[in-house]
Amino acid sequence: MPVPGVPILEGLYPSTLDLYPFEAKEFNRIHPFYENLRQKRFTTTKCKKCGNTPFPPRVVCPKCNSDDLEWVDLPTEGKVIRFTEEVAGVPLGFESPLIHGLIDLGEGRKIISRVINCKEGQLKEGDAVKLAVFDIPAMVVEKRGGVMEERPRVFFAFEPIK
Amino acid sequence: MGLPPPFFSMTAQEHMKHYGTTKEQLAAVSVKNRRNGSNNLKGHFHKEVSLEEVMSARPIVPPLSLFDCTPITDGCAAVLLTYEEKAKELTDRPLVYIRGAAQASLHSMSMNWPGEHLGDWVHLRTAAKRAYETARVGPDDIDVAETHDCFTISEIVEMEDLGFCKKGEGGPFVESGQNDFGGKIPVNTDGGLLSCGHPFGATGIRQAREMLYQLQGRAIRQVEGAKIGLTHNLSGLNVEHTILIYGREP
Repeated sequence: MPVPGVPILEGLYPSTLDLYPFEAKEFNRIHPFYENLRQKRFTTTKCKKCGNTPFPPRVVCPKCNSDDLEWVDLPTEGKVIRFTEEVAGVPLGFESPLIHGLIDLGEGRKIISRVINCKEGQLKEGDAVKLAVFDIPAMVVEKRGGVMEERPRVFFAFEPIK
Repeated sequence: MGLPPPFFSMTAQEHMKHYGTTKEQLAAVSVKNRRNGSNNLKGHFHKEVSLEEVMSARPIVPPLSLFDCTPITDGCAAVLLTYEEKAKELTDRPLVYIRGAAQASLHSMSMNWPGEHLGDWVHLRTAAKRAYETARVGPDDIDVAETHDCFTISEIVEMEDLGFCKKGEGGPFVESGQNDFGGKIPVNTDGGLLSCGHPFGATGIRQAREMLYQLQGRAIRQVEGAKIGLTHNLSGLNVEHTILIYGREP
């Protein structure tokens, strides 16, 4: 992911300014969330003891402290309730226009998330959007013997349904 | 998610949709705070702005424009906190006590907003209720306040959820000067974040310092006879609120 506007960083990824979480299973106990994203599934953890289903996914239930959790699917399509569009002065690492939306996914779930693949002035309140999964720079995991393994990563946003 | 402006822009949009808050009312916060901060040489800005300048400023994330947002500022602040007997040893000035405090937070906000809409800050009301209880006062007892006006919309919602006015009436409350000198409760008497800038962390201490000066009667813009003050900060993307209430008595 080239850094726009900073020539010395063209073609390089500033890992010290990494915007994204570690997703490799060696570093992240909710790694199934990202593996599910690759299959275009938007998931979270559900507590088998009390049924609480928070988002983001957890390793311990925030209501009853049980660690008996299972992965369940969330809706992947929704309607834009409110959105914001930032054109000038977009922060380093993001592209203009930077669009965020408050999206109603149904089932009582409203999420604030980025909206991508959308031109300036295109989005309207009430538009339908769906889950979009995109590649982000890989992270590096050092294995025994100094072997460096590249682990590809993905992240999610929402995009207008044509 | 990107930085605060998109989130607070959405908050402003929701507040405007649900309560009819106007851009002029947002601008009134900026005009007031820049005026209050105009003779605070420790702040980032030392110049007033007019309503016309604020209304015609370039957009940052609509509906928020340049003067609706706090600048990015480097700075620091310090305050000395100690117990009563030690404080009496160290100074002859009237002592200012922390009467009460409270904090409330959400575990995340991307999908767990507790309010009816983004302009409904349930967790701020939770913290406020607890702070007033520990301080044994109510919103009408507060003589001066410093709240977290990271964006103009923030101060408007804070007036409502701290109990200074009814929910939804924050816009008219600030537009009519109720949170300015001469009104019900002067807020951000040293300019607040919009004028002083916002070095994270240092802002809370700057607010404490202003409370100290206000309650000791030596602030640059003094609220006459101030006896009880309140400071408020939020952090994260509005996931956390901290409130401290100060008084001349413990």
